[in-house]
Order: sequence, then structure tokens, then C-alpha cells
Amino acid sequence: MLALLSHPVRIGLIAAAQALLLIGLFFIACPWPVLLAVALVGLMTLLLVALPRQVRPASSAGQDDAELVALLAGTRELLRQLQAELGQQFGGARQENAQVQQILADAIDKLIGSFTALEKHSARQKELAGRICGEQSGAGSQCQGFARLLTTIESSLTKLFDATRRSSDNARQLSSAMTQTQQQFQQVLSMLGDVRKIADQTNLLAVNASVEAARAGAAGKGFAVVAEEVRNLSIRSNRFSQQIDDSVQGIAAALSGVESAIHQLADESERLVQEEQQHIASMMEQAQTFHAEVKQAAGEIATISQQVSGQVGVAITSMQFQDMATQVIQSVTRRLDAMDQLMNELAAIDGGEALPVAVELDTYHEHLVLLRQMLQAATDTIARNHHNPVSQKSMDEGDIELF
Amino acid sequence: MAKTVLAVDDSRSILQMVSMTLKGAGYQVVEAGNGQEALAQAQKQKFDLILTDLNMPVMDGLTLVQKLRAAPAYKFTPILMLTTEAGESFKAKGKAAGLTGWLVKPFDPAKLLGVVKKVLG
Repeated sequence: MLALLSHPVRIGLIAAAQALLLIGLFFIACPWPVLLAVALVGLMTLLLVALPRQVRPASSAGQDDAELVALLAGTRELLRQLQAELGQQFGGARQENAQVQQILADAIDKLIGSFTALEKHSARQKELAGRICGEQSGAGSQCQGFARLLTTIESSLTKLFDATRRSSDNARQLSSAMTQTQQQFQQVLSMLGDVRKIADQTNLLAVNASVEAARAGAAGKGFAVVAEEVRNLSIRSNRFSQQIDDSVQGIAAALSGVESAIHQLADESERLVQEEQQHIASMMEQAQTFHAEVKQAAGEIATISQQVSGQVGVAITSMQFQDMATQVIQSVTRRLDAMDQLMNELAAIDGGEALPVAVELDTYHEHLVLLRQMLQAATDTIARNHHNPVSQKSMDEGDIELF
Repeated sequence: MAKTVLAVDDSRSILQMVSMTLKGAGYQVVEAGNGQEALAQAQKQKFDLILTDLNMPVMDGLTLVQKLRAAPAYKFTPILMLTTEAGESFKAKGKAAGLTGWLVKPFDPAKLLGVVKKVLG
């Protein structure tokens, strides 16, 4: 078709091709527009493959053809430069892809190590919290043991206080009994006073009897002996009464001391019970508060551990980006390889040799057939790389399907 | 006795994360980097569950499933595919090869555990 064009138009086309090649070289300076550059080089190659063979041999072997050949040679040189630059860019892109994969792999390795340790510590923390005071820790936990201990202490102290209080009551009853005994001793002492009075009167009576016996003379001798014995008995009776009085007085004094001591003991016990019961109640309340706080803290620790575990799970889901990103990068690398191959095959058609201005028509036909075969093969290669192995478009968890 | 799981993936990070998830739940996990390594492991010991990737070098997951199902010891063993692929054509091939289930990455650890518990009964 180009063969039908006039010479100035062909010159213009070649000049346009050169301009496009220069634009391609400009794009190569940026790493990611590589694909655009590949498209440009493909177009240029096609143009270069086609254009020389459009030139009619020796139709006008004058100055115009010489100018055309020079333009073609210049364009070919630009193409070679573009190919070389693109080759370097493809290589660089592959290296950078590999570098990104390595960086991702290293980073994810450390992240996984950290999260593995975090999960392990969190599980251990949860286990310890459960052992201390977990809801599901059962009767063998420290928390349950402490609760039982508190209950036991409280029960024992209550029994002790009850016993002390009962002892105090008993002491008071004993003290009361002592008071009654004291009163009875006073009655005994009073009776002993009566006994002494009787003895004194008996003594006086015996003295009078002795006087009367003396008056009676010899007839009263026997009576005088009896009167003397009665007097002796009254004296002894008085002495015994005094001894009994002394003993009772001593016992009464001792009982009074015992009563005082028992009373003091009862008062002391009562005071002790009242004071210590309040003190123990306060301590038990503190212990119960401490126990409740420990239980609450243990529960919170367990909850936090569960939350940490949940967050680690989210992190695990998110960290799988490395595998997905790696697969996408590998897919990009495969696409780059296919385009690199296409570029090299297109460029190899001319083999870098100087083009003859005149080309036989058969040779031109062979070139076209070769070009078409190569383009078809390239199309198949590119089509094989259309598939993206990563279906997920986000880091949301993937679907699960059981057959 | 703890159930044993053979985890197969060419991604080291995925293997680490699968192992971390399953070991945390009390399973024993053996790792393999591709289908061929997995077959070698499966011959050494009997696993209760195989969890494999699809796209792997040397031997892919689909071939691994076909070879395992051909072995009498693994005729009825649960085999799960854990992959980034979600195409219906891939799933159909996996189902025909004898797969038990298809899980698309990224996986949620809790849900992965749920599926593993379910297929292990």
C-alpha cells in the first residue's frame, strides 16, 4: 500500500517513525511505561520491516532514493538504540521485581516471627489468668482455693468468737454464783456469832454453877466438877467458832478475789471479742475485695488475651498479602518476559544488517509470511499470560467451599 | 493423640502461618514446599488431612491431589485446596480430582480452623 504513495509522503512517514522512536526512548527513561515503549517499538519495527520493501527498485535511482536510504539507516540506528535500552529496562524491571519479592519475604518472615511469639505469649497469659482465677478454671484454681481459704478462716474465727463469748457468759454466771456463795458465807459467819454468844452464856452459866457448888460445900463438889467441864467446853467451843470464823473469812476473801478475777476475765473477753470481731471483719472485707479485684483482673487479662489472639488472626490474614503480591509480581515478570521476547524477535527480522534499497518481491513476500507467523506466535504467548493467578482484589478473607 | 496435617505451599510465609494457626489448636503439622515433596512425606507417614496450594513449582496441587487419590491410603483422606485462584474451571477440576474443599486466600485463621475441624470430624 505504501508503495502507491508518493516519494515525499514516504519520506514523511519515515520521519514520523523516527519521531515516534525518539518518543519511545523518552518513555524508557521512566521504569513503568515500559509497556508503552514496547508498543512503540513494535510499531516501529513493523514500519521498518515494511518500509524498505515498499521502495521500488531503480525507479528513480537518483538523489531522492539516496535521501530515503539515509533516512532508513538513521531510523534503524534509532531502533537498535531503542531495543538496547528496552532490553536494559526489561532486565532492570525483572531485577526490581525480584528485589521487591525478597524485601517482602524478609519483612514477612520477621513479622510472622513476631506474631508467632505474640500469640504464644498471649496464650500463656490466658492460661495463667485461667489458673489464677478463670471462670472455667474449676475447683483446683488458685482463685477457688483462696476463696475456700477465706471461707474457712471466716468460719473458724466465727466459731472462736462464739466460744469466747460463751466463755464470757459462763464466767459471768460463775461470778454471780460466787456472789451468792459470799452471801451464804456471811450467813455462816452470822451463825458462828450466835454460836459464840451461846458459848459465852454457857461459860457464864458454868461460872455461876461453880459459885453455887462452892456454897453447897462438900455436897456440891461433884457439881463443881461438872460446872468446870461445862465451862471448859464453852471455852473450846468459842475457840472452834473463832477458828471456823477465821477460815470462812479466809475462804470468803479468796472467793472474792476469784470473783473479781472472773469478772475481769469476762469483761476482757467481751471487749476482745467486740474489738477483734470488728478488726477481723474489716480484714475479711479487705481480703474479699482483694479476691474480687484479682478475679476481675484475671478475667480482664483473659479477655485481653482473647482480643490479642483475635488481632493476631487479623494480622495473619493481612500478612498473606506477601504471597498474593509475590504471585502478582511473578505474573508481571512473565508478561515482561513475553514482551521482551516479542521485541527481540521483531528486531531480529532485519538482523541489523544494512538494507538493500532494492528487494525482490518474493523475498518481500517471505518476510511478510515470517512476520505473520511470528506475530501469531507472539499473540499466543501474550494470551497465555493474560491470566492473573490472584483472584482477590482486596485483603478480605477468601471464600470457602466444601464439596 | 493429635491429628496430623500435611501443609503444602511454595510460599514459606503461608506455610508458617498455616502451621502457626493449626499448631495453636493442637494439631501436628508437617510442611512441604511443593507436590513432589508432599508425596514423599505422605509415603513416610499417614496424615489425617492434606492442605495444599494449587500453583507450585515442580508439581502443582492438582497433580498432587490426583496422585494422592490414586494411593489406597489417601483414597478417603480429606484434602483441602488453599489457593489464590478462585476460577470455577479450577474448582471443577479440583472437585473431579477428589478434593474435599476449596479455600481462597487470604484465609482467616479461625475459619480455617473451623473447616479443618469440620472435615476431620
